[in-house]
Amino acid sequence: MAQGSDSNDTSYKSPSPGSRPSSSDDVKKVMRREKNRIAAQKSRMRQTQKADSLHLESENLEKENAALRKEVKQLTEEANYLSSVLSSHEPLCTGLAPQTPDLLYPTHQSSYHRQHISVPHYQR
Amino acid sequence: MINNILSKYLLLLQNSVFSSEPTDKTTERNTPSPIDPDAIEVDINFQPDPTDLVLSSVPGGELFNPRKHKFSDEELKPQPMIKKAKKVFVPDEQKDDKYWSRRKKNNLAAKRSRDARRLKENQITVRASFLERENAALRQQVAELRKDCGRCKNIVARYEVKYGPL
Repeated sequence: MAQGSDSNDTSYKSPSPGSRPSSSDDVKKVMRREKNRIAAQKSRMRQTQKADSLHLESENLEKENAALRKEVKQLTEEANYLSSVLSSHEPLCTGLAPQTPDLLYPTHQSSYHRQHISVPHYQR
Repeated sequence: MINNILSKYLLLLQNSVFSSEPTDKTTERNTPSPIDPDAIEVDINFQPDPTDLVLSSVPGGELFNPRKHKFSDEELKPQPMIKKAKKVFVPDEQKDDKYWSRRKKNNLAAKRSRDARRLKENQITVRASFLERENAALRQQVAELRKDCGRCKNIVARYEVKYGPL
């Protein structure tokens, strides 16, 4: 946006209204014009400042977002690795060997044999 | 997925009883998904004001999507200021057709420029609030993952103390 050098540009003046422009009217006009000029300048300045701070915040958010995504990726990979270490160890694990089948499959031999003719025994 | 394995080893470390099948058959089998590099990773949770979205969208194009639209650093840097030409007073006699056609052209260009700037600012605003939400969700995800890793490492450490290296 073009904004550089209109700091105190008062070279342009519109023609005064009416056939008998009094000097007091002119003075009032000039004063109003000047007030408006300053207000417009302030408004533009506020707008640029607001935009600048928004852009700065946005830049930080983008950077933070990228860093967080990277971290999530690293941590997920680590978690998957650790989990796979445990998973792949499990079938080889001596500590995890099952206890005596009694605990898992409590046997009531007599009752079984009375009710069923052939009983498949599951052994591990 | 991790909880499954961990609970097995937890049981082992805490008692001596071990069941070969997970008792909870309802735990789903999570096949590890390939890690997409940053491409699409996040949880959906953003409901922006539809007016804001419309104000951020190019008329005649598709609706603005804050998730997709990243703003690069150069786009965000403060705009360079062009020196404005001084206002020169032009008397009515000199305001011929050429003059007015030039004025019209410039007025339209100025309007386009203002509209484009306003649109861009709206887009950046919507994207910023989206990123705030997404970053919060990501931070939560990081915390969860750290917890998972911690538990795994803890289990491995306790196991190795008892039974030696894996």
